[in-house]
Amino acid sequence: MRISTAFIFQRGANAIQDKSAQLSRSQEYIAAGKKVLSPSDNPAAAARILDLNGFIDTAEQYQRNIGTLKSRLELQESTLDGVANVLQRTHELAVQGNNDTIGPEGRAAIADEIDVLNDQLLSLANTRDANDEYLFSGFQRDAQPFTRAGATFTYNGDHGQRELQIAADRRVADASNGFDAFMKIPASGGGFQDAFTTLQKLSDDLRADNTVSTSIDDIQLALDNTLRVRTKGGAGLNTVIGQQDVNEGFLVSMKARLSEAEDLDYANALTQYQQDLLALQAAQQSFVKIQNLSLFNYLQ
Amino acid sequence: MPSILSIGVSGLNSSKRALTTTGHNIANVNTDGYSRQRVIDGTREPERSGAGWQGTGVRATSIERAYNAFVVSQVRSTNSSVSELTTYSSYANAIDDVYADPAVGLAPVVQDFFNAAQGVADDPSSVASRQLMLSNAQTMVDRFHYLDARNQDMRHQIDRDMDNTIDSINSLAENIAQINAAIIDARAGSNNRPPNDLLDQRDQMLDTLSQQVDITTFEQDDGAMNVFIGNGQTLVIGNDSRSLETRANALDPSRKEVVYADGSAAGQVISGALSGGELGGMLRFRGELLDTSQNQLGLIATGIAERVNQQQNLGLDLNGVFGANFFTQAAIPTRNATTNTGTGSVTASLTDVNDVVPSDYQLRYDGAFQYSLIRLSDNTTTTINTGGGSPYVTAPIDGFTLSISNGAVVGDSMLIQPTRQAADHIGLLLNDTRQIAAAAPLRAAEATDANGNPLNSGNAAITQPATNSTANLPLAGVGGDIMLTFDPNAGGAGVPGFNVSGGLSTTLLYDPASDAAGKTFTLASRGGAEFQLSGTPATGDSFVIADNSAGNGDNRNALSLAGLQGVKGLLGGTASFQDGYSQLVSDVGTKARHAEINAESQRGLLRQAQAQREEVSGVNLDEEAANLLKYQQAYQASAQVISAAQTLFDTLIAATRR
Repeated sequence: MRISTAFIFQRGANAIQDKSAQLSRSQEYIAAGKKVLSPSDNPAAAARILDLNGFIDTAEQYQRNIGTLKSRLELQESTLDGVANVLQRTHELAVQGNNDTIGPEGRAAIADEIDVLNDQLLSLANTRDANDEYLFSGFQRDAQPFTRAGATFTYNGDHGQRELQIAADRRVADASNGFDAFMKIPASGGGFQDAFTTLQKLSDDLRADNTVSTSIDDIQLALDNTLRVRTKGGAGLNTVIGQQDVNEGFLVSMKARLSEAEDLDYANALTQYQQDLLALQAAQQSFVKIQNLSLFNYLQ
Repeated sequence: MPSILSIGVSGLNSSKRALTTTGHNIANVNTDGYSRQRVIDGTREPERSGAGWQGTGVRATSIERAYNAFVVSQVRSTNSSVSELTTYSSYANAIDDVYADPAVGLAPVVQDFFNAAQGVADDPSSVASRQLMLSNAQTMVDRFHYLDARNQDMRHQIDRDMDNTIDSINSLAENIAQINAAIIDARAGSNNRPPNDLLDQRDQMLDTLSQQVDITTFEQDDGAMNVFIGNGQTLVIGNDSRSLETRANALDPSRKEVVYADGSAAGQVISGALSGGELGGMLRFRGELLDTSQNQLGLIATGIAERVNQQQNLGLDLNGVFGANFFTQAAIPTRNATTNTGTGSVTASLTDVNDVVPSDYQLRYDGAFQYSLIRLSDNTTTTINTGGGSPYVTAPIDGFTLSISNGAVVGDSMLIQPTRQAADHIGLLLNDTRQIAAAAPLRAAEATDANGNPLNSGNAAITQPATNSTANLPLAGVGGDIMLTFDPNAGGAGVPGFNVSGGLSTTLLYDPASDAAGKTFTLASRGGAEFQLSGTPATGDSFVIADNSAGNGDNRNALSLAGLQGVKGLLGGTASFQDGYSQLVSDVGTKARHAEINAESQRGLLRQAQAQREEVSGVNLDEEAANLLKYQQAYQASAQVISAAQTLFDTLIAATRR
């Protein structure tokens, strides 16, 4: 086979150019620390990286939703804890007041304390969350849910209950509405009676020296209802915390897959880099050796 | 009897010619496109003698270049492929890098927008979360504009590159025609002996030309090389050349096409017929990748605008009114071809973004009220017959309808681009955080007295109603709240159900004995309100469905807005917005990669072909050194022959002197 002198040079130069392009590419990967520098390196991996980033961002948003929901449900729990304490204390006072040994003055004093407790209950029912919104007003977060006019208590909220997205196909209810928590409480005498009216009646009856055994039952029912709502919230909280762990696990595995898809394996990359370097040196050396060979060197 | 002297001289001359040619070869060892030359010698005419035919020495028949036409044409065609593929992949990489870059790509900003929608759902009355959603929407819109502008830049770049390439093709064609003329002259003046160096120069030009565009060549008997491009259009014939130019596409004037100047006014559009070379690479990139990617980007923009607007329209904003459009959606652009002679026209409107295909369409009038709608991405044709109606509105085709007005002349065409400019046209319409429609329009409650105390005695419950339209909403305009009251005989004696009163009067059959686990109802005439009743109601127990006024803590519509992200509502229900975008990135990446791999293998073939050409035509200095020695020795030997003739002559003189 004939081979032209220019082509010997050209081929040597091509080889050096190819190897040095390879070397510079290897170096680029190492500098970036990435497996895929451009989608054309690995189109499937590039699309997968986009998808994985999307999954991760969405899951992180769910975790933020969970954070918001958790703080609201915790606020509801501590508020209802306060409500339960108020009702518990009222129950004790009612039992005391129901005792014949206490005279009308003692009952009036107890009624006074119950009035204070009722104010406290009302203020708990009108609790606002971190965003200065009423916790127990359903969809109408700006409306003060409970108002009183004399002995009449009114719920101004609605029966809506918000849900928050905590996973792709999972929503969990936000804080309960005031209707469920304070209004729809079965009364011992049939029908329903709200917690405030129960306390109001109790204090009125104590002052009027009437028997309060019905009220004691009603307070117990209000306490039961508080416990029910609180348990529901607690169950929600448990669900949310469980989901938070699931999401965290999902995030860890997605991040591992992302890292697998996009992060460079340095051991491999450095080995490749060494090989490319060696190949370039070999190409350079062989070029120098070959270009020294010429018959003209011997024709002196 | 021939003269020894003359034989010696012929040998001397021949050796000198060979030495000169060897010198020429050595001198041109680094000349691009140079083909090694050699002298073809032959014996001179012999003379008849008594002993038979007596040789008379050597003569040169011609000087030829070492040349293999097949190998040369192989070099040319692989060269053409390599430059096509390299051009293609460099363009493709330029846009793909942009698409996949986390800092400037679309994926992160779409994600941020929907995350912000979740933020609004978390806290619908918070100004801060609403503000974040609006600013993220603006960022997303800006990103669409940016990406579309990059596509547009690429289009302009291609237009400029096309002009430059065509200039260079035209000047090469002229030069080849000139050199053809020189070759014809040189051959005619030298008894058809090849003008080797001119031929090399012409080959060199053809090589350069084939890097611009794929050519076919045909050599005439007089030595001229004819060059053809496209579907056999003549670029060079003999000493005459034709030229190419770029002109605006008749259907889409923003698009340049390559036109072959065939003498007619319109010229011949040959963009579609060209392949190979840089020109082929850029045309293929534009038709195969740029158009599709810009349309697909537009499809995602259309999808987001359309879906978000639809959902936003279904919800209530903080002012208690139905949400206004979130994003601008321009009408689908249509355009009459510049070559149309009729007055027909067409408009298009979107019907369902899920059915939209990322392609442009050509509507062509075929006569007798018959039109062909051609989907340009795959040439699928739909025939439309208006039957003379004008304007005639078609059934939905690929997610849009056409309204065609009479007046077209056979052959007239119109361009319809459902998605091409959507990424450019999308804009943010909302400017007030209160305008985000986070709430649903209706809410349900069990009946209460004026103070909110429950009135029902049964344990039946109602879920919050979900709507899918705004029909007859708000309720205040059509008779007010809707009341559902349980009656054991609502549907006739012994058939229990709810009597519906208020603005609507109907009966919802509900049997607590079988339906207590939950039965779903829909009020089609009230926004399609869908809700579920469950439990066991007592006679007279009621539920109220009312306008959700002041429901600023309601996040139901915000949840639906955020949920759009996961809905596979593009490309026939196969892709979410993110899927559509990933597809775009991987599609462009795959094509770029494919072109790179092909370019690499073609480059290998090119090197092989070049090696073959060099094997035949290249100068090897060692070989030339050996030839130098060989011809030097031959020269010395011929000189020796002359010297022998001299000696013979001297001997003769000496013999006759006596």
